[in-house]
Amino acid sequence: MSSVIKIENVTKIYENGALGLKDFSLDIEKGEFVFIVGQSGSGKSTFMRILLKEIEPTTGDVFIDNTELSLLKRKKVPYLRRKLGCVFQDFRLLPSKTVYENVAFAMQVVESSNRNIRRSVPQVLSLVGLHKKAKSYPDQLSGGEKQRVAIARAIINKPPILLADEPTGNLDPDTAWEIMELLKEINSRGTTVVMATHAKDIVNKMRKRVVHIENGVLISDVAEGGYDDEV
Amino acid sequence: MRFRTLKYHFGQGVRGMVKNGFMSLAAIATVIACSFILILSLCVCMNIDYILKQFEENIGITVFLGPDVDEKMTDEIGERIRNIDHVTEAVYKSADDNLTSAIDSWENASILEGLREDNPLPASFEIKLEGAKYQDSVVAELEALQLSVESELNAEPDNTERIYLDNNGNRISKEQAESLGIVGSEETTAEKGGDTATEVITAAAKADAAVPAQNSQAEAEPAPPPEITQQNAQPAAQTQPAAQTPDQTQTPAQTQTPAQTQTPAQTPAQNTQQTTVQTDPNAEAVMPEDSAEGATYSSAPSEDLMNTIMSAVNATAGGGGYYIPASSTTDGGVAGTDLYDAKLYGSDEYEYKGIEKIRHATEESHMLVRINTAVRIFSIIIMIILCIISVSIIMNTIRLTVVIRKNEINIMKYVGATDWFIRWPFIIEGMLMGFIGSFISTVICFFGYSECLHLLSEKLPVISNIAKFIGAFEIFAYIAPIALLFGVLLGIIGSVSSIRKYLRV
Ligand SMILES: Nc1ncnc2c1ncn2[C@@H]1O[C@H](COP(=O)(O)OP(=O)(O)OP(=O)(O)O)[C@@H](O)[C@H]1O
Ligand SMILES: [Mg+2]
Repeated sequence: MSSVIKIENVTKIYENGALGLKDFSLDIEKGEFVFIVGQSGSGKSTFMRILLKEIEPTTGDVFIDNTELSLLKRKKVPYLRRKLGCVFQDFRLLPSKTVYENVAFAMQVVESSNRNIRRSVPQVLSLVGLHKKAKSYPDQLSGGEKQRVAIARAIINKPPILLADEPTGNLDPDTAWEIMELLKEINSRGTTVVMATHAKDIVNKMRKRVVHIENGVLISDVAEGGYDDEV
Repeated sequence: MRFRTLKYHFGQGVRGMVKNGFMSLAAIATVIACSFILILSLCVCMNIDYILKQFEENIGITVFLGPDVDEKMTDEIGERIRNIDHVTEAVYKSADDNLTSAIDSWENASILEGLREDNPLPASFEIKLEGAKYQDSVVAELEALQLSVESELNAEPDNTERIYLDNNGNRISKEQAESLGIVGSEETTAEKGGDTATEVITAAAKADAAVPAQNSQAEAEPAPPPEITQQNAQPAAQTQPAAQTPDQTQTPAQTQTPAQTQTPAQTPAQNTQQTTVQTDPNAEAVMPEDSAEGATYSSAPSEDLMNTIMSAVNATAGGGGYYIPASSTTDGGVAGTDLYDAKLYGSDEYEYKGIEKIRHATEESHMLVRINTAVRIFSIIIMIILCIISVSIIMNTIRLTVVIRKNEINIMKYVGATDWFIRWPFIIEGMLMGFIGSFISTVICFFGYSECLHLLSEKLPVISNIAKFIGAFEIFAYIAPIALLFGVLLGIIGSVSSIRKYLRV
């Protein structure tokens, strides 16, 4: 199986009865760049969280790297997450740590050696264009810069998959584009990128695979599509 | 875990503590308060225990020995006392020792010095126990020992003067008696009649006809006429002739048929007759007719003499005991022996020659045991309550710092940190805070305790006469590790339980 992510007939109904996803199936190949689009409340974040095993699907199977998530023991979940870098709309940086420390933190967590950390962090910071801000604290950065830090942190351990849930949601269009360029660069280096977004113009310009969810149901899946493409 | 990871955790732990300075101070203060109370109650409980122990030690048991117990016997008794469970020591005090300590303890006791010549005090063993709660069982053992010593004393034939009579009632020497076959090897196993007792061995009785002129008699009358006991084989031989196998007779343990002991007064007439029956292998064949033929009762010395014997025997039988040696073991076995001993020696009239008296303070020891148990239960309850309260306070304190770091935990989970990786800094932080808190508490309490001891001995020197307290170093050598462990565990439990919730992401 070359699918790095495979979802089969997944239904997620929250405890309060709200529908997250309904009979949802999807295959994502290694190295793909996939947009997940849909209205607010359509189930995009639900999809992301199921991949991260933050929540369990009510029914259906999820495979990541050919591992079925429901069979994964709780103790193994951290190792699953090391395969999935993730970026959020709200950046989620540690305010008490510098840019450098925020990125290095992700390496310390997976117990990399200090030597490795000292070598890798500056590389990644220069990849995201923040090598000059290494000693700044998050509150000294712009939104775009914060998101770059978050992306740097997400890819520092070289995960095969990068999940980005509305990474441009809090950014102005120009900054958003800079972030998209960065994600494209990362994708071109072999990382599979799955990005949930509302941003029509970005989706339309990128001409990548677009998966459209509405009310938890997959309504279209178009390679090199636009936001409003129908099957 | 790799060393750099440990270093990382330690750094994070210290950092977390410093960063959340106010919360850390609150947590440390909580630990200080909790371990303060813990140390205080430990001090109180341990001292109460210590003082009770001192009281318990004073409540030993004293065993008084009879004047006739020789050195060998004394050693043996001492050995057997020390072998009793829960006896820590048994110190021998000679009569002189006891007199000396009596003189010492009386302020104006020089008059007692006069008693040195003719010391009325008995020798004794001062017995100490592991605790007052063992007193009852040890006393029971001592009473058993008392009985068995008594049996041994009574079984010793050594001091008995024996008068041997031939068939015509004429006195003969032992050698003559032996040559006549009156005295056999059984003789040595004959019951001893006490020091001043005398046995009359007649041809009729054919050896070992010793009847125990009972000891109480011997002691009650310092200079009695020789108590002459005589064999009267008749009634017992009639009642249990077939039972007399050589085996039984060769081991003339003092036994008695229970039925007989328990109904002593019913047939007074029989008393005189049954009292002194002792049989031996030779007597096996002795049927009533035979014994008459062999010149026993009737052909024995004078009627007067026999009367003396009988009255002596009756007197010694006291309120009820009969003395029927080996021949009657048939129905009793061991149980019969016990019953016999208990009845005879246990009666109020009986005066023990071996262990004269066992003195113990039952009331006091029972009270001490009760107090001790109450204190223990009370302190355990206090400790449990204290631990619960401490843990819940510390949990809530640390939880506040964890809420602040919820974000951090969340991010760690997203980048793939294991639960333990997330926990460790919190554990170390909790450990540090617990250690610091309990250490401060221990130091404060140590100086407080020494100061208290100092003040007490200075201002209330009377107290040291009543009871001693545990020294500051001794008690804190014990308490400090407990308190530190308590603090560290408190910190760990508090921090680990407070992050549990946030690990579920
Ligand atoms: N934790 C939750 N408990 C209950 N219901 C939830 C929970 N999270 C999401 N839902 C519901 O599930 C549905 C899908 O939500 P989801 O967050 O996946 O939408 P979304 O597509 O990410 O929306 P948005 O674009 O606004 O982020 C919504 O109706 C939402 O109310
Ligand atoms: Mg969402």
